[in-house]
Amino acid sequence: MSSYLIRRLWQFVPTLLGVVLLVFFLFNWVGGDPAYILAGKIASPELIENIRRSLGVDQPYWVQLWIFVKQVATADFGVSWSTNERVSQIFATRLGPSLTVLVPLLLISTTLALAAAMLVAYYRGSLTDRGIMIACTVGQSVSILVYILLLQYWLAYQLGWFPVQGWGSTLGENLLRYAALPTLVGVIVSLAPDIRLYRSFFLDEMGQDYVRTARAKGLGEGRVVWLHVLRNAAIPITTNVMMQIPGLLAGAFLIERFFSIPGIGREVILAVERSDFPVIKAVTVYVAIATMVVNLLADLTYRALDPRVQLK
Amino acid sequence: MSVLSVRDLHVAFKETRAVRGVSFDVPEHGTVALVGESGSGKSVTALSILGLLPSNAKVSGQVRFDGKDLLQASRRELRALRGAGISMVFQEPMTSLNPVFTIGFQIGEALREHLALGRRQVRARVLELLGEVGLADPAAKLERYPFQLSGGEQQRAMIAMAVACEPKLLIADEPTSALDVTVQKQILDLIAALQARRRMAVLFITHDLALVSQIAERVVVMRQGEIREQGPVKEVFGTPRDQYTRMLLEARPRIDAIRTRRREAAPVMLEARGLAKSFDGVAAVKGASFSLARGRTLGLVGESGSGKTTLGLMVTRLHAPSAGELRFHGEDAGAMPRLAFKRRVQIVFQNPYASLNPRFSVGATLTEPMRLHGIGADEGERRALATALLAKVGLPADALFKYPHEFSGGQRQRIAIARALTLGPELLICDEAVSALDVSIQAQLLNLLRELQDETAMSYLFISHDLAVVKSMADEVMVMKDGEVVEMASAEEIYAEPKHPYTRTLLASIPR
Amino acid sequence: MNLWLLAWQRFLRDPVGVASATVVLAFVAVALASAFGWVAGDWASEVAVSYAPPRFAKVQRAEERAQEESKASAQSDFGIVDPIGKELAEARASLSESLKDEARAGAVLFGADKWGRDVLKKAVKGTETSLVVGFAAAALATLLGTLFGAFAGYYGRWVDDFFNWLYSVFTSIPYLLLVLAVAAVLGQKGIVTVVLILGLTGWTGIFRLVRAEYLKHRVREYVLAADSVGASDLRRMFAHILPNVSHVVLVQLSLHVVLFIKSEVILSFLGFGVGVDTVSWGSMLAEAPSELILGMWWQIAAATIAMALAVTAFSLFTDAVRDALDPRLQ
Repeated sequence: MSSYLIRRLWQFVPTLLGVVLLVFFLFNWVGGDPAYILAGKIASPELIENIRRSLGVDQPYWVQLWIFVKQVATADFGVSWSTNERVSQIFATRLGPSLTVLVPLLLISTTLALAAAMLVAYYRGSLTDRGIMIACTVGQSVSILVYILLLQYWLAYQLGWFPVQGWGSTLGENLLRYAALPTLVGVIVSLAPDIRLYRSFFLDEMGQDYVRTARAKGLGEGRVVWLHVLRNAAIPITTNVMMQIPGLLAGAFLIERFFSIPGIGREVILAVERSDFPVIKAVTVYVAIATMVVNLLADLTYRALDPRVQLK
Repeated sequence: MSVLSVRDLHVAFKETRAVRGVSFDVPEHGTVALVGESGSGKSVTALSILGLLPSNAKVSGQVRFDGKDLLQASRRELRALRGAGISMVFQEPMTSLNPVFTIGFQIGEALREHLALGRRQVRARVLELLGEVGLADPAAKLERYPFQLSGGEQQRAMIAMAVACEPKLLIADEPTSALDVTVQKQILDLIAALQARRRMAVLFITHDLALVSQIAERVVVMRQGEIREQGPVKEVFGTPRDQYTRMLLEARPRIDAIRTRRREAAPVMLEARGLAKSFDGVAAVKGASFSLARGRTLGLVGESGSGKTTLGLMVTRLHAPSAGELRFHGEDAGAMPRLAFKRRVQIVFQNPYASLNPRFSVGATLTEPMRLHGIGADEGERRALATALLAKVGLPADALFKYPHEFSGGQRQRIAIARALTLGPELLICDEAVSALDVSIQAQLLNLLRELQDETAMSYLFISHDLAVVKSMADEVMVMKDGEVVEMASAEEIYAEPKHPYTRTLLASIPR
Repeated sequence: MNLWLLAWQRFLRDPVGVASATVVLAFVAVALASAFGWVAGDWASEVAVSYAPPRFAKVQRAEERAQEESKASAQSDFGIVDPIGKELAEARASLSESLKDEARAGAVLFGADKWGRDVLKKAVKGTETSLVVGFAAAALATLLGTLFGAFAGYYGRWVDDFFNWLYSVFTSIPYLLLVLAVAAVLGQKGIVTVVLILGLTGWTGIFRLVRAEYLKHRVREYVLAADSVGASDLRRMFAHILPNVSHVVLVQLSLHVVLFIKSEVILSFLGFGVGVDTVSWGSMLAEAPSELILGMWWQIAAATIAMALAVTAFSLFTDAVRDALDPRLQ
């Protein structure tokens, strides 16, 4: 087991190197000369040269790459170009708010989606099944932007049930007041695709031979579905849920931006709007690492759930 | 006294009527065999007894067990019966067992469902059962998952699960069809022993007529949803009244049949010496040597894992041998140019549904080799050649424009044979070429192969797990086990005086 | 009969499939017409007053008002000659005329935005943008994903290792983040840029599926048979296996069109998509927050309805295509 772990951790290296190369290629090569961006519209040539030197972009490419690699290794990406805040500091403070929305979001949406998916898979072809599936299809065709805008306008602005935007100071206040509407929006948006996916997992399992054997043994439908089928479907479902986590970290940025939640996602959007390269680079690298770690955890969980899988 | 009475059973799915008015009885403590080819409705009949058909099935008729009509029973009554009064064993043990639970758990589940036993009692019972079905080291097997067991062991576990609650009737749906011949015999013996000890009745479903005479007292022959004949085995097999039954009985190649063989000498065209193949350090074939003469058939027999398919693929150069040499008329096969070699050796595969490209029309499949090798001056000539080949294998000319899915399994194999013949090979490898076909179709294809050999003097390397089929086709037979050739002799000798213990076991396992 | 023909027949028997295909074709027709300039060419011109409401909402009231005024003036006539009666009547007449003018000017079918531009025409132009981006990016991503997947799955070993490394690099970065990062860097906006961004980052899903299919098929007997009659590697990959994998590719292409339409809307909303010289549903939505506060709902409604119709139709169409092509149903 430990040899498997070590081997997997080793495999991080080429992937991380690839990510570093990709980010470097994008920002240091393709990206516009940052000096012009930072200097503003009217700038003298000396000012631009100064900025260039302070950023280190007057060096040849391979030196810049080495600097970047060092930054990644030491987890120190310098300071934000717009706020001058240390990038690592930015992360430390923004992670909390992001998680305050993400964790409840993941828990609630997964539970609801599983229950709904099990229901429609069991009664496949029935009116309920088809109705819910059509509702999912239509629901998915409306952009997340519309959901955010409309729900924010209606529930918060018009009806005043939730605060329109903002963030509090204590965890409790945040969870109950400020995170409520964002979480609700997030759940609504992720329900439709999740239900469709989990439904297909359940259908796959329900068509297997062992289900017939279980019935032939005289087991009741409840036990067949909730024990035999669910235990098998849990394997792809758990893997799927875990794989969603890195995507959620960055993908909740629209929600964070509209609700003014000081999380990582909002930071990313602001950085992109301001061409704040250090922040974007750092976020990309961090999230890449997080994704690799989560994938490894997902594989280990898969192994724990499925006895057939043998780690090589 | 009948333990099970089926009267006028009808089962229909959306458009097809799978079972049309079937009636038969299963006597108490007796064994009835339900025999038929694919599509006969035998499995559907068995599943309908316990109500295990999918929800879109329309069932009518009467199925009486223990004084109750099962088709009218409530869900709770049916559940109480399943696994306790009547239980079932299925064909594919690997997929019929839940992969994420241990077999101890799954067998125990049957006990817990129907009997009120405590945990320790259940565990003791399960250990007993595992021993009774012949599983070695029951305590260890208790904690094993299905994938950790061999096919035979899995089936034993399934049987243990089925007999756990002492059912009056055991339904076995092709329980041995997915197993090797030697294992098959063991399972059949096990079922017979269990039946005797527990005084169970058994309804045994199979497509293999030879099995029937070994295990059953009564037989029911089905075809396309109807019963063609039923009665005591000796009667039905001794003096069959129905034409279909007669055809089935005659189609099966008999191990003791004698085939007239050509006696004149023939030049050797293929010689193999020390052929070996390893994959990732595991040896699949460990040094095989043989020779094959022109116009002769060399049979290659073995069970799964024996290496016979790998050997066949090496002869076609689809696998490169790890060691050894192969000579064609004295020439080293490895040194011959690739395309030239392909013209001399061709192969027909086992699975008729996978060996033809579903997106290619038959004409495209047949003309492709011609185009690759420069046979035929233009498309018209190639099509004419293809039509001639189709005629040779007994298919009409309009098949050229059809697609594989429009043909039956047997017809697809004919197309595959035609494709193999396009290049006019000297050697044809038949890798389980008839194993996936119904018995009646098998016989037709074997006849076709024999005719072609007489016509073209092709040599065959005939690979199969079925000793009876091999014996009916081959002049010489090679027996393989675990990658080694354990015996090689003429077909008659192998049958009359098998020398190697494995060959003897193989012969003894064949039901007759 | 060809398997494609069979699938086509199966598709025609599916009412939902045919209906959604019709809607999709309608959208394509609208997009083409817009692209050739036959409709909505003048979407950018100011045709109504700022924030003019949709025709079906308020125009009646303007006309009713004019009618009421003329009725009122008729009732209050007691026979006394009104000294300024004629002038008043003329004034009222011209007022009602101008009201009618105003009503006509504001009579855009679905209202106007802040700059007086016809919302309906903007929605039509947005259709063109979304469909062009969706199809072009999906084509690019599918091409890349299929080629990579074919080579990786068929050849295995180091070819597979290389593509898998590329795959893990691209998938380590969550999709929208990657898209945003590339957009931030490329800065310049425009349809081509958006297509490149989406296409060059969105090939990963297709790659994985096509690779899995190739792994499965390369050991299938029909491929071995092709080898035994002398077909080369390339021939086996593209003449034999690819047609048998094409049903997967087609469904993925369709799914990615939907995905890219939705991504483009988000990009344009954030200002990283198409430039200001053209319209996207996303840029229409971007104007929505300020409009909603003022009670103007028609632009967000137009964009949402157009997008919902298009995406729903396409999703249902994809499902129908998938069912029609399903090899298990043969």
